[in-house]
This record gives sequence, structure tokens and C-alpha cells, in this order.
Amino acid sequence: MGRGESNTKKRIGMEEWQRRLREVTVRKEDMNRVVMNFLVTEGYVDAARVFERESGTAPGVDLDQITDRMDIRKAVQSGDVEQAIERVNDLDPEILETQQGLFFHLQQQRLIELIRQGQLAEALHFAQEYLAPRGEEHPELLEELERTVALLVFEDVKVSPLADLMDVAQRQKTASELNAAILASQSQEAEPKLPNLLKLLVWAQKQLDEKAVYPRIDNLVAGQLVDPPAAGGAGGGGADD
Amino acid sequence: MAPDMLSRAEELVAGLQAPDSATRLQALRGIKNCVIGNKRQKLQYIQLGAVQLVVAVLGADPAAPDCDPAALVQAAAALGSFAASEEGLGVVLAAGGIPRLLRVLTASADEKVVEAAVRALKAVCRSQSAPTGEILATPGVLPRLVQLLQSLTSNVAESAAAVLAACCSSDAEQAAVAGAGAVEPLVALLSSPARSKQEAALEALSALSRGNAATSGAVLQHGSVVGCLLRAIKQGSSPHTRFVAAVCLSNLSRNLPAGHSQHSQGDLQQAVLPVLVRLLGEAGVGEDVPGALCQLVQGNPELQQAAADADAIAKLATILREPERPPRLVEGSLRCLATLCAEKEEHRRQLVECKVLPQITAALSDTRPGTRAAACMCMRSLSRSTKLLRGHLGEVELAAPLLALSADPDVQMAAQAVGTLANMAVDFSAVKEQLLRHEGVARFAALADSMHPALRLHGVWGLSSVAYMSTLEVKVAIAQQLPWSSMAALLEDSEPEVREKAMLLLRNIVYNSYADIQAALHWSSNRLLEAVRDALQRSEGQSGLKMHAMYVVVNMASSTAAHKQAVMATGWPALLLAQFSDPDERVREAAVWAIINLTWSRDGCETEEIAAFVEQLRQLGVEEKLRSLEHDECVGVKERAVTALEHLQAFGGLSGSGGGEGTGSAGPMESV
Repeated sequence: MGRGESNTKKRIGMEEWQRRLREVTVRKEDMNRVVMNFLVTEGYVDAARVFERESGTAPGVDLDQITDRMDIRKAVQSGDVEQAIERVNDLDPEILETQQGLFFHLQQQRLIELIRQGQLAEALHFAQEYLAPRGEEHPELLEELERTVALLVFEDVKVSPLADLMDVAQRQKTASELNAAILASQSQEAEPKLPNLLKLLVWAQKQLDEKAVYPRIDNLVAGQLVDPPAAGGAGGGGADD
Repeated sequence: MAPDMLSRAEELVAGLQAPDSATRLQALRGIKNCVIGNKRQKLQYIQLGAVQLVVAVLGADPAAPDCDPAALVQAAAALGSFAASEEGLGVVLAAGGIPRLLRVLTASADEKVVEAAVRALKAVCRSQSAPTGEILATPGVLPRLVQLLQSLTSNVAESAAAVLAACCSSDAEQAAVAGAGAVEPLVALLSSPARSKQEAALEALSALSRGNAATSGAVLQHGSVVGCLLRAIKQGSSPHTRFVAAVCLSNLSRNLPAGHSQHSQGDLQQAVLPVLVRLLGEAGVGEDVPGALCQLVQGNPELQQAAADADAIAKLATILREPERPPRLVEGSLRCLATLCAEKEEHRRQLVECKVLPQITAALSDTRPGTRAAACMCMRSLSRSTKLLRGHLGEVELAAPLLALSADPDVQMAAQAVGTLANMAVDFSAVKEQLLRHEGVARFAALADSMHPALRLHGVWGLSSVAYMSTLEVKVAIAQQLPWSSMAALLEDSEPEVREKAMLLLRNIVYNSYADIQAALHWSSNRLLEAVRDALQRSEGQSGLKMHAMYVVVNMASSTAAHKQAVMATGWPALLLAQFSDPDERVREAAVWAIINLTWSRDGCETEEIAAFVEQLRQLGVEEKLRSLEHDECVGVKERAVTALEHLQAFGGLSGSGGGEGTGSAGPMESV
């Protein structure tokens, strides 16, 4: 037999679907926790505070620490790496003491920012004093180190093979790595749960599409159930994905 | 070094002594941010004397009203960063940093200060040279740490748990930590939603229960612990959590009280085993996993079998094949393989099929002593297989690295290497050729002269293996390297085991042909039989030695009439008859063999001389004594006695029938 054709698919109308949905009880507390998890992980401190007050959901972490974490992320994103390093060390000195790869990337970013600002003498000095010794202590970083120091060779880095390092995306990358390390140090997941739940929803709908016609959620932002298309004649109505 | 940077560092260090507190604070913060994560900067500031100045800041009385908590926080963090390197820790200790840090920890009421202090103490405790005794002995520190286990501030509870885990290096330390009430809050942390808190508690409980029945008992009193751990080994959120839980459970299971209501030791170990084996196969496997598995299965054949069934050998071999591996991981894997292959031929075969002999061989010459020792243990396990000795072990170059190890200053290491070589020196071994080529005989002979009993034992053992079923040429080489005076001294050695292996060596040398025996007699200037006789008379209760001594005579008596005569002339006949009543059947049988050979004529020659020997033996009452052995409980002895009697009767009736040939030399294989 071939795959399920539309005329053999089970058809579920809006009314029955709603009735079935009502049979599934999702605890409000659990929903709230997913929301809080999202706010906390993504760093929406003010929203988390308000949500805590309104729903009585505990954030599970120190909200002040979130402010710190978001400030640190912003500092890297705006190119102030030194400030970010100081703030991380205030938050938990163990992070940069023990995570040499992360520390190297922050210093790499600092060099990049110095070059971006045209402070070449300072950049050269920084590379010699801070980056070069890293290679001796951590041979695994050597290749990346060489690539970074090579930035100093090009007159216009933006048209060099190393242009990617100067890109804003590189800042984002460094900021994310640091953010994830801080979250891990606080025993938090680097990703909120909500996006995964939505991915699961999309996947489940896709699976179900093979077997049934039912009210789908097509627009995840609106979260509206859409009526299934009216039943066609025999052989009509192909799969709608 | 750039001059302006140096001046910045100097400026900061000078700032530590500035009169105004704002400058001091800024300097502390600046130095802290320079040294965190940066080994070079640490060294630079150490050279500028920063550590002593930071320690001085910590010396302020935390309870005094003019004390600046912010300065204490920065100073503690800086101290922790210096202490995170070995050089730095040395300077911190010398500068008296620890007592001051401990005082800040116990005396400050400021949450941020306590947080910084306990984090710094954790950094100190990451080192092997952490002064754990001093930490535990300082009044107020233990209760403070136990209290901090319940802290909700950031990672204060984790840091306290890590310090306590480091302070469990002896029974006394473990008892002190448990006695201070650490168990209960640690058990409570096991149910924390925060992974880092769970892991820190698991590490601490695991350190607390390691090899200590009393503290394990204290942990097991909390009914929920075992259930918590069983859940953690299966559902732990990270591989590390599962690993630490497995180690903890394994420690506790060893000290489970016999009547524990819900679980048996066997159940728990069976639960831990598959978890550890599975962790072996995970990418980025924790470097302590193989070592933990090794510890779990040590001395337990059932668990060893279970580990092998779960494919542990192939997984460990895969680890050995990876190009870049942390040293602890390699050493643990080799040790674990040594244990798994110690007894079972099947497991050795599995390992060899994984084709990692080159890797294990290479590890014999590793720069790290621990790795070399582990590789050697592994080879020793493999060398117990006659099959592998005949085949695969000959395919890699083993003799040279093992001989090099046999000269290791570490006696245990050397003994391990010589023991392995001794196993490999046997006749059928493919490694024997290599060994002879690399002057293994000279090395064994030198070790046989060692001051250290273990090395002497293995040296003689090695020689006896080399001599086993060897050519005359090899035996002559042994005689050249080991003068008879040394051989005689070994027969009188203070260690019974050494005497026994020395006799085995002699037994294997005096074997086979007339020429072999002649060479041996020449070596000893004809004192061999007396020396063996004297050794026998000194060896009350040593059946092994007695048996080997008997077979020296058996071999000698299987030769020509002249050699038989030598036996007859050195007081042996009476001694042989006396052995008929030895409690060990192997000794009795050997003694009868000697009589058979003395009264046996090769091809009917020399019958005149042999008739004379028979007559001498008769006069000693040999027939009655042999008759008494016709009813011996050992079949072998009985049959030999019948044969011997036939020989005697043949000479009584003047007819020389063929006799048995002595089973010459004995297998020198290690039994365990």
C-alpha cells in the first residue's frame, strides 16, 4: 500500500478537537514555569519580576544575577570586552579561572575590538603580552591564535580572508559562549524550554498530517486553530504540507 | 616584556599600600582581574610581592567597624586566583594566607565576603598540596562550612561541599567531617533542582565514604540516599552526574551493613557496573571512569565477567587507540584492562583481537611512571597466556622496554617488569628470542644478585624460565652470568620463595643430556649435589623446594653410571628413602622416580655398576619401604613404586628391562 491518501485519512472536526483538547489538563503552574523559564533564560528581568508578582511563580534563580548576566552579554555585544571580563569575575571568579577556551575567546575578541578601533600599537602589544603566552600554555589554541594574530597583518581586514572575525557575528558568538558559561555555572540550561516545546508541536503536527485532517495551528504566534478544509470528493484534497 | 605594562603592574601593586581606601580597592580589583585565568600574570604579580600585600588586606578584623567588606571580597578573590596555580599556592601558604582566609570565612557576617572566602578556599583545595589538616583543625571552620551547605546564595553551598570533599583524604579527616554534621545537609542537596549542587554533594559524599566503613554507615543511615543514588546513576542530567553518583554508590556498597533492609552489596554493584561501562563509550569520557571501573571489579570475578560481557574490553581498547588522551584516562584504562585480563583467557583473547598491542607496548616506554606501571601490569596479565606467548606477543617488541623497566629505581615497578619478562621467557614463547637478543640473561642474573627480595625472586624466576627446555648454549650463558657462588648463595637465601625458585632453576639446568649435566657439574666444580642436599635438609615444610631438589637428582640419575655414582656417593640414597614418608605426594613420587632412574640401565649397558647400586640400596632397606608405598593413597606413587620394585627384582634375577625416564624439568609458568 502507498502512503495514506487523503480520502483514507481520519477527519476530525473543530468541535471534537476542542472537546479532546479540553480533556487534557495542563496544570497552570507548569505553564507558568515554562514562561518563567523563558523569561529567566532569555534575561527579561523586569518581565520576570512582574510575572512573579502576578502569577506567584518562583523564578528559581536570583534575578539580580540575571541583570548581571544580561549586562555582561551586552558589554561583549557592544565591544567592551574588558568590562565584561571584570563583571564575570565579580559574578564568579571560577568561570574564567578554569575555562581557558572561553577566556581565550574573550581575549581574542578584545584584540579584534582594538583593531576595529584602529589602536594598532595597543593591539600588537596586547597580542604579545596576553594572547601569545596562551599558545604556550594551551597548544590546542595555537591554530586559532595564529589566525587571530594574523589580523594585524592586513591593512584592511574587512576584505581579508579573516573578515569573519571582524564581523558582528563574531561578537555574538563570543557573547553567546560567555552567556552559556554563566548559565552553566548557575546550573541553568543554555536554552529555554519553550522553543523546544514549539519544535515538538510542529513535529507532532507533521506526523499527524500523514494520518488525519484536523484543526492545525499554522501560525505559532497567534496560536489559533484553523478549521480543516472541507472534505473533497474521492481522490481530492492532497496532503496539506 | 613591555615596559609600560610592567609599570602598570607596579602601579597596581603600589596602589595596594595607598593611604586612601578607594585607591587600594581599585588596585585589588585590578590585580584580581589581571591574574584570573592567566598564569603569566600570576607569576608577574607574585614576583612583585603582590601576594603578601593581598594577604595583609585579609588580615583586617572582619568584625571591626572600619573594615571594608568590598576590600575583603576583592582580596579573597585575588588570593583564590593566585592559589589556583601551584606556584601561587606555595606563596600564599608561605605568606600565611590560609589562616587569614579562614578567619575571614568564620568571622565575617557579610554574605558577599563569606561567598568570596569560601570560593577562594575551594580554589585552594583544588590542589593536592592544600593544607586540609590546617583547614579542619582551625576552630570554627568545619561548623561554618557545614552551615554554608544550606546557603541559597549563588554557588556558596557547592563551594563549601567542594572544600569538604577535599578535606576527606584520611580516615581521621572523614570522621571529622562526618562528625561535624555534614552528612545531613549533603544528603539534602542530593534532591536540589540545581545540577551543580547535586554534583557537589555527590562528590563530597563520595569522598566521605571512600574506604571508610564508619562514615559510609553514617551516610547509609539516611534511608533516602541509596534510592537517590540509584536514580542519579540512571537519570542524572549529565554524564558527570551519573559518574559521580556511580562512584558514590560503589563506595557505599563496599561498606553496606550485612543486614541492610532493602539492598544487597551485589545488587548495588550490579547496578553501578553497566553505568560505568556505558560511560566508557561516551564521547569525552571522564578521565576517572576507567579507574573507577577497575576499582569496582577488582577481586570480583563475577563483576569482571559482567564487565567483559558488556563490552568493556573493546571500549577500553578504543580509548587506547584515540590519539589525544589525558594521561589519567590512559593509565586507568590500562589498569582496568590488566584487571579484566588477569584471570580469564577469553578476556585476553578479546583484548588482543582489538589490536591494541602496539599501543600497550608503546605505553611501556611512556614518560609518566604511572602509565608505564599500568602498561606493565597489562602485559603481565597477557603474558599468562601460553597461546599469546606462542603467537601475538611475539609480533611486538616487548623485551627491550620491559628490560628497561626492570632497571627502574622504583622496586615495585621493576619487580612487575621482571615478573612479566619471567613469564615471557619460557621455551615456547615468541618473546624469548627477543629476550635473549637483548641480553635478558645478564639482566636477570644481575637482578638475582639484588639487595631487594622481590627483585631477587623475579630475577631467579626469570632465569629458571629461560633455562626451561633450553639449549645447552643458553644454559652455558646462564652459568657465565651467574657464578656458582651466587647460585649457592641463592639456595641459602633468607627468603623461602627465592630458595624455591633457585632450586627450580637448578632443576631446569640439570636436564636433558649428558652434556647438560656435565656442564652443570663443571659449573659447580662438582659441588652441585652436596649443595642441593644441604638445601633440602634445610627446607623443612617447603614441599615445592623439596620436589625441585628431588628432580635435580631424578635428572642426574637418568644419565650415565658415572652420574648415578655421583648421586650414590653424596649421601642421597638414605635421603631419598626418607622422603618416601613425606606428607606431599609429589615429593614421594619424585623420590621413587629417583630410585627408578638409579636402578635403570640405558640399553642394558653398565649393568655391573647398576647392580652395585641396587645392592647398596637393598642394604638400606629400599624394598620394604617401596612395598609400603604399594598401598599409597596416590595412584602415581603406587605405580612408580611397582615399577621400582620391578627394577630391583630384575637385578635380583639378572635381567635389565627398560625403565621409565624421569620427567625432567618442570614448567616454570606462574600459577597466578
